[in-house]
Amino acid sequence: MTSDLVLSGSDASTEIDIRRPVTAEQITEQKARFERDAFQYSSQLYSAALRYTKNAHDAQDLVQDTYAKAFTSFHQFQEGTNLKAWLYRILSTTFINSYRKAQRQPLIGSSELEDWQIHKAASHTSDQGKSAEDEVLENLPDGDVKRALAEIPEEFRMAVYFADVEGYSYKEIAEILEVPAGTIMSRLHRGRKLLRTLLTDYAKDRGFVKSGAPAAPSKEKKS
Amino acid sequence: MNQNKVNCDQALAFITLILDDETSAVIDISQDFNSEFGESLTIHFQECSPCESEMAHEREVLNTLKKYMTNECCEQAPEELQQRLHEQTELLAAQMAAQAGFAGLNLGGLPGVSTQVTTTYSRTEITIDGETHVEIETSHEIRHDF
Repeated sequence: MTSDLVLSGSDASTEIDIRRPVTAEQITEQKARFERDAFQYSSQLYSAALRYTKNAHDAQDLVQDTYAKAFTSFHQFQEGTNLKAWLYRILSTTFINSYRKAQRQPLIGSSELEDWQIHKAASHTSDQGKSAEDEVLENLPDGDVKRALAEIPEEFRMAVYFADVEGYSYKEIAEILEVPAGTIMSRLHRGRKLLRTLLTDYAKDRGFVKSGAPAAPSKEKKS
Repeated sequence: MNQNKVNCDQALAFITLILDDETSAVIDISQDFNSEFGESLTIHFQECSPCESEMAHEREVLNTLKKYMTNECCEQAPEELQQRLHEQTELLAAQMAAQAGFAGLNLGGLPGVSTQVTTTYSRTEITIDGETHVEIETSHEIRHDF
């Protein structure tokens, strides 16, 4: 059997270049396929972009840049693999390369990488602690979780978003964010903890939590 | 395996793996672990009642947080953005076509889509005596496909 058809001798970029559309038909076909397959995720991408940029204007620009990059390199996308995750990876890379520099967001230190050992300080939570937190969570006003998520450091925020809203596995998130799976576990562990601490803080600020006994529920809504 | 037996501190340190149903990911997490560590974690949470109740509480909290997050963090892409995405794709496709040599191509609809092929071919033959040079053939072909 001849192996002439197998591109074994060529490197990946040659293979990808072969798929690049060159005729009018191919370009038209790629455009149609892109509109059919990629456009359906615009709301999810916008939502993730809002988590990154924290404002609607930048989020729209980020999504637009993401789709521009995705379209011009759409021939590199492997059909049959996860298109939404591929788009998310472009979104993340675009944010990190262009927007983060402009926004000058502080980043968490590199010490996060091996910090699973920090969790060793964990211990069983008291029943009192549990019920106080349950109470906070049962009475969260609209928008608190969104606000808390925006306040935690970006690395934690995006890991939590991809895991808890999108339902991605560690492996998938690791591919989107281009970090090891262990880092994802660590970011989720700490990110969710930070989120809960903030939610409890908000409740305290409202005077809702007082040593386990709830204050009179306030009718007025903070925005 | 006994060497993989975990204590409460270790179990709680890795509670996230249990909550996310990712005990199989443990090998990707650190070279210090093997797949049996993931199994031992699961077993610990089944056998140790304080850890089991901790896990149940954590699961409940996580599910509540997920519910809030899903409700609050799923914004719709604005009309304006969707419009911009469509326009941008039209433009990029036209640019791509222009770069490939199909300037002025209308990719938006069926009319105007064409393929142009240009072939130039020529051959010069030299006779054995080396004196006669004959230009055999020059052809120029333009084909349009509609």
